Amino acid sequence: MTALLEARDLGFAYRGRPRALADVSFTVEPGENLGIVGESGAGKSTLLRLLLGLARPSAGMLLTDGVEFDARSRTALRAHRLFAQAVFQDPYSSLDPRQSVERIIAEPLRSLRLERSPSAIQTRVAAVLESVGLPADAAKRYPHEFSGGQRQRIAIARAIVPSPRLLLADEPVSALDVSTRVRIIDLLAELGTGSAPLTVVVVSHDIGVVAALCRRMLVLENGRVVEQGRTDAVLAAPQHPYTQRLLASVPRLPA
Amino acid sequence: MSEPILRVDDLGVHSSTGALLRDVSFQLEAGHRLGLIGESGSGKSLTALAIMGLLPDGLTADGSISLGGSQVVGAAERQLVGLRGRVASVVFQEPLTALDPLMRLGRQLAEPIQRYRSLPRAELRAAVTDALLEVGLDDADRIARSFPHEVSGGQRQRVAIAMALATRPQLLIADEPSTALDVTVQAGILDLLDRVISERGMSLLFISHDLAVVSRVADRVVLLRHGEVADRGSLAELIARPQHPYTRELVAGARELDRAIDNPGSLT
Amino acid sequence: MSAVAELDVDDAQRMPRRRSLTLAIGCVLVGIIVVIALVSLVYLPYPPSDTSGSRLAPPSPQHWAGTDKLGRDLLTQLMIGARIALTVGIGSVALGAALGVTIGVIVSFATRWLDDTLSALLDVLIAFPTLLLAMLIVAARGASLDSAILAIGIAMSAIVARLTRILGKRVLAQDYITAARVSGTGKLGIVFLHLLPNIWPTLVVNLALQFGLAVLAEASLSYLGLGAPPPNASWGRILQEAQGTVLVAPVGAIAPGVLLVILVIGINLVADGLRDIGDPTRRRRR
Repeated sequence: MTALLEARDLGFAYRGRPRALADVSFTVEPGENLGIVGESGAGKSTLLRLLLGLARPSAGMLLTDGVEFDARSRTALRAHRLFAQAVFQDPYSSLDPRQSVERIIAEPLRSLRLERSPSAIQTRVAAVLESVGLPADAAKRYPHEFSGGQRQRIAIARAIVPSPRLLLADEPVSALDVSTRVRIIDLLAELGTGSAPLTVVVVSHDIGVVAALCRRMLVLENGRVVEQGRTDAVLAAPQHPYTQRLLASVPRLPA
Repeated sequence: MSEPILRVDDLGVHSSTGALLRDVSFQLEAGHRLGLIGESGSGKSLTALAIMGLLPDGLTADGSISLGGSQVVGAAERQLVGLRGRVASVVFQEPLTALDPLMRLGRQLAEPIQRYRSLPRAELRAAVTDALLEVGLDDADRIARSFPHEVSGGQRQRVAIAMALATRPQLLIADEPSTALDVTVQAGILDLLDRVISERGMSLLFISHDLAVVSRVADRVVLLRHGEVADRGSLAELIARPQHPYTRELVAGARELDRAIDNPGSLT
Repeated sequence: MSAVAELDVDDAQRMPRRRSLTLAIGCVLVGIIVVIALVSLVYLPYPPSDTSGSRLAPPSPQHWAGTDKLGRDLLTQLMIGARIALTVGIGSVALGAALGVTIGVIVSFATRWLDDTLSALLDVLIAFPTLLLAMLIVAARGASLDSAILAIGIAMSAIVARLTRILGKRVLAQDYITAARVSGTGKLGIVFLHLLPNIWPTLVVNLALQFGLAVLAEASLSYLGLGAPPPNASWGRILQEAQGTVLVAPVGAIAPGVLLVILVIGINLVADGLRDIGDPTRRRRR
């Protein structure tokens, strides 16, 4: 089976600066969520931008369904948008405060020309609101009327409305209260196993979140992949010293 | 039994539109540690500000806060200034905003040291170096000469801690001191706090939303929710046998993520 | 999230009431001038160039505001001046906004060296004295209302462009812009769906203030003889012509100034009152 997404020796450097990413290689198989763990400066955001086609790699390549992805081609970019969508970290800045929830969620449908008629759009928005556990009347309201957790649900709804096959979640729960985090994680897990095949790639500094959601994981340090494999294997027996240090630093609940 | 270093009785904090804190009571014995756990909107940071008499304009406090034997609620600014630094100090979450970006770290650290004991110049420099070494900053000279943006987040927080400790307070209030830091750096900061508090025989009021983090530094906790005390007691007990529905919810959430580390992919 | 953040929302609930009063007073003041200007379109006490009156006469039943040094009815002049003030204000703001917002939006997308270069050019234009610009344009096209509008509008566009750039950059740094790009929205879509709607409230307030500044600028230009020539005189020119005889016939010097003050203060109050309107986060609170 061809990998859903493959990164081959990806490298990236901002002009005039040392490399932010180097020799990054991994695959994402359909149905196998991948967790990307790293601290600040590890290159997580850079990698995310490359995976979303918001920047072009300085080295290496990205393949989707076995085909090389060139962000310069407009048709390829559009196809990529239908293929991969994203949820961002800050629920307070990822929703346009001046747009109604319906317009926010419907934006991919309009921009990617998936639906035209207002009634078709309304139906799809209502359907996706239900799948993220929000009431249908939320569509007419504005972001500031919702809590952080609810906003993140709206952001997830927007991401899944074009039925992508890959969902990239950048620190999806870090800005939320502890009691809300688990609910959003449950939602992401549920969406992954829902009717439409959706694979989730979670980028996070929180190993617990990655452990809960992802069958496979990789560890980024200073722009390089220092360890990757099945999550249970990596966490049970971390090989690289950085991974070991990371695991040892995670605050644990008393037994 | 000696007087507790901090005693809060029926503390209430009000704004013009309503109560932000209500009937908050707890106490902290000298040399002991207490965790104050709450999510956003729980009023935990407000409690820390109230204790130091640093409530913003427009907020009024009622009830009683006895800090080192002195009453804080309703006290004049002059009396509060005498308490701050000498009895209690605070370390906040974001070192970047707590430090003056235009002043070298050595100079910023010298100020509270000087406040505690007037020293001639050469001795002051040595005292600054000692203070930096005590918080684990071995590269003391370079750090002292640097500006806040020239050092890492963890180093900044260590300097902030050094500044808080410079006046030799009896109580340290730490409000989410490691939340903004990377996980590997966080561990170092928590270790530092643990060590320094023990070495100096100080009391610690540790404020956080993270149960696991609090468990690293404190045994007893008070749980705040929507401005009120929801639960209190031994942290281990609350985690093992949560009674109150909110506690149960909080612990369940923390447990699920914690368990996942030992049992990955449990949801998929 | 913190208690302090909750306070901000509470304050906003309370402020609208104060703001509405400001807006109301401002609208009344501006309204007075607008009414005078509108009336002047259909009725003037005397034809503008009629010099039949006695010179520098004090207010009388025939000439409610008296006459100027050439015997022209002052009230007629003031009414025409109101029309000119508003025309200049609207014209230069329209030009300044159209030009300034367009340039500002383009520059806010620019990065690093291009941004630095364009911002420097804007700064140069802002530093260029409006007066000098006006004189250059007048030298090229002759003194007229259009020349004044052109000069003031161009000078204003640089300031509006700089403001638009700053507001635009702040918006473009938000995650919802990245989310829009990932949703497949192109640059044009981002400008009209997200950028402009989010900077509009602040821009409108600023444009209202610029309106007032434009009116003042025109008065100064006219005072220096660079504005619309008589008989279509603006308040500035009336002031200039009356200044020599201010002790003998004070109305000619005081009246245009008073009207100018009413208009500019009115506009500033309107700008103040507009600040929180049209912002959904203030409309309803949960």
